[in-house]
Amino acid sequence: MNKLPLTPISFSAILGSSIHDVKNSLGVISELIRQLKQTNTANKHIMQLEFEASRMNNSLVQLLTLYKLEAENFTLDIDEHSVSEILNDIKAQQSSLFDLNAIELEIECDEELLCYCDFNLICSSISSILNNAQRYSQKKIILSAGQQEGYVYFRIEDDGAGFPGNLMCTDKVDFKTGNTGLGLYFISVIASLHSNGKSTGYISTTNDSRLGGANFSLFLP
Amino acid sequence: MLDLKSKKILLIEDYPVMRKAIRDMLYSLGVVTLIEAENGQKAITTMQSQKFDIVLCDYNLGEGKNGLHVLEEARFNKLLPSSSAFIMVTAEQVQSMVLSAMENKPDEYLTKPFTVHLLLTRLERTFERKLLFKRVDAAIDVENYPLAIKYCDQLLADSPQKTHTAVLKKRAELAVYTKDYATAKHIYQDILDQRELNWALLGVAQIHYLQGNMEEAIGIFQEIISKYPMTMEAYDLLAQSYEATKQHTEAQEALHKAVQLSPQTILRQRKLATIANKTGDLETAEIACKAAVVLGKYSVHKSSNDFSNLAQVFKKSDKNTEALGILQTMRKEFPNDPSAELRAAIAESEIYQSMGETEQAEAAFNEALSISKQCEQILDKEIKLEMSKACYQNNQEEMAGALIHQLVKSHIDDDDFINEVHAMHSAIGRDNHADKLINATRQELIHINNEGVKLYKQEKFIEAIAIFAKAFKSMPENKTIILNMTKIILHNIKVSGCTKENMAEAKFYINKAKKLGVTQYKLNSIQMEYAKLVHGFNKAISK
Repeated sequence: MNKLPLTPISFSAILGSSIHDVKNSLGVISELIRQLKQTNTANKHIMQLEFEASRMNNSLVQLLTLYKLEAENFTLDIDEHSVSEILNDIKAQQSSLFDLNAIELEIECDEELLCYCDFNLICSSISSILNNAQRYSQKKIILSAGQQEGYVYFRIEDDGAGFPGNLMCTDKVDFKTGNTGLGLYFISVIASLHSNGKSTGYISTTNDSRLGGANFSLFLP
Repeated sequence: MLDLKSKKILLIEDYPVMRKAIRDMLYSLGVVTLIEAENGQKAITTMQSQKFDIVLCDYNLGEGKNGLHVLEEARFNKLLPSSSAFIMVTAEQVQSMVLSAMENKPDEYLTKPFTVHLLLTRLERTFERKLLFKRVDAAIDVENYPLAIKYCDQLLADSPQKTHTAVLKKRAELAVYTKDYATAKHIYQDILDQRELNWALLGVAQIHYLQGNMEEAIGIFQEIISKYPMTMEAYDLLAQSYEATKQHTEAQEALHKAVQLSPQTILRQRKLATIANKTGDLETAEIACKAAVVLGKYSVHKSSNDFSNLAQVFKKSDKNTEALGILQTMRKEFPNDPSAELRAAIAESEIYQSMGETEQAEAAFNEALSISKQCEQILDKEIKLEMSKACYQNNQEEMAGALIHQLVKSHIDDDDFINEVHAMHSAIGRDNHADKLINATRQELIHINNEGVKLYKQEKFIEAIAIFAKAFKSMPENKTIILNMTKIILHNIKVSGCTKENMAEAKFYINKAKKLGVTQYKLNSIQMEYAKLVHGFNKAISK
């Protein structure tokens, strides 16, 4: 049989396959941490390790998705979903971290609220913002959702020191120009891919949290 | 909380460390019955002997079948009841639509690493949905679509608003199954008026296709592809629409794009090979055939056909050595399989013929002849058609004629196959011969059917049954005849009373119809009628 034709190498392809490699290694690391945890349950360092590994994993997932978007082989899988199901999923993804840091997570949402989105992408991107928020908060975070001017919003409010100036905005801001965390950039890209007619999704970052800290909101049309 | 104590779980994971981790997670959730499999083949064997409520399957299972192969085979061989949940565990967030075909979707994807809470949340979500559709799915399982539709409509009236879109989606699919295109279109259009959702657009286009409005269908499929380029189904259906309008080159192009985006689906590769053969693009045909052979290795769709098709492509490209080589591989891959042996022998005879090796060609054809005679009962219609072609080419007119005669009589109401018969005759320049036979058989069938129905209307049931019984003798595999005859037999029993004999007769034909693959949809009313009669009969006896 003939050999398979070689695909031409491009930088983005190398980037893509490297991300895969690193992700596999991370998978093994996460697993080893899990095992360590079983014999050293109370060790704070191990818990910190687990937290960092999961952060790296999140970043890689986001990089990989952005890479696929760039390579144009990615389509959002948008359907109607229950907002409370989304919040439950996010809570479940992050629950062990909240246990670790003894931070209270309060959820506010109308059971019947629906929204149009890509379930997995929205869950994982909000989840990583929540992950960040709990790093900077003291005792409590409110994760809420509701309706506002034709958009469904998801909001994360914490009781930390708030966003630093360069990550803050009150209106639709293009994060490509600013110096931002990957998580915020990622979710702003994902938000912008959610559109309905002329409306497009966006995010806002302010420091008017009901708890006194940062307030992150994602708006989906 | 979801009660996992009563659920039977199968965990499929090749990596022992990971398996242990997930096992511990499951036990911590209160799971009691857990079976593990470290590879795909073991998983399938286990699923053949017992039914599971939850299958948790890693996508990447090392050498051998992967998670998708497992799911595909489980669904294809009905190893998974609709009430069970299949959860695919993947290393990265996958685009579900790229990985699999529509009918092979897992209930849920989980990306590694996941927490125990997330596992539980996803299981709860899945079972909540399963519970909602429990009665609908059960009705669909036995192909009782009217009942499924009734339950769907009840759900629309009674269930919470947030479930409505999901119920409407299923309701529209059921409308499509039952050819109620107006209702389906109405639902999709209503959804689209609210929001442009990919699946609703696909639905509208699919209805255009099914109603024969190819131009409209093609337009919408193209729109979907340009907006949502990873919608694999749109490419498949676009190709089908092009094919229906004989635009083979365009059909090939559509499938080619799909295969580049999602190269893992054997059925799509096979289709691409068929179309490339039609357009004469041998290069593409060869690549697609090779892909099908490779992908078939661990697939439930593995078929000797892919090997012989590849051999045919090689032959057309004058690569006779490669052609003979692949046939040899095929014989090794399919030991003791008469269909494979017959395919190999037919192909070898053609190849030797084109190489001018008359003696070897004759030997191969004789082998084919003897297999065809010995194994007549188990060979399928496709291979019999191939055999009849070989007979014509080897001047065995009588044998060819007999084969074709039997094929046409048995499958006259299978339009696709009759088209194949026609195409085969065209290819060897015998259009006339096929047309004559096909038309005559159609006339005969119509005549018998009309005669039988006329007698039935005159309430001459015994005579009507006799007409159909005679027809059954000459066309034992004709579905229309069997169905009509069974209906009249049942009606006759209703009118003139049950006897042991006529009940046995009814049962015989119902079973025969099932065996011939008459769709459950058409059999339902007949089986219900029969069940009623049995009930009445038993009551009468016990009195």
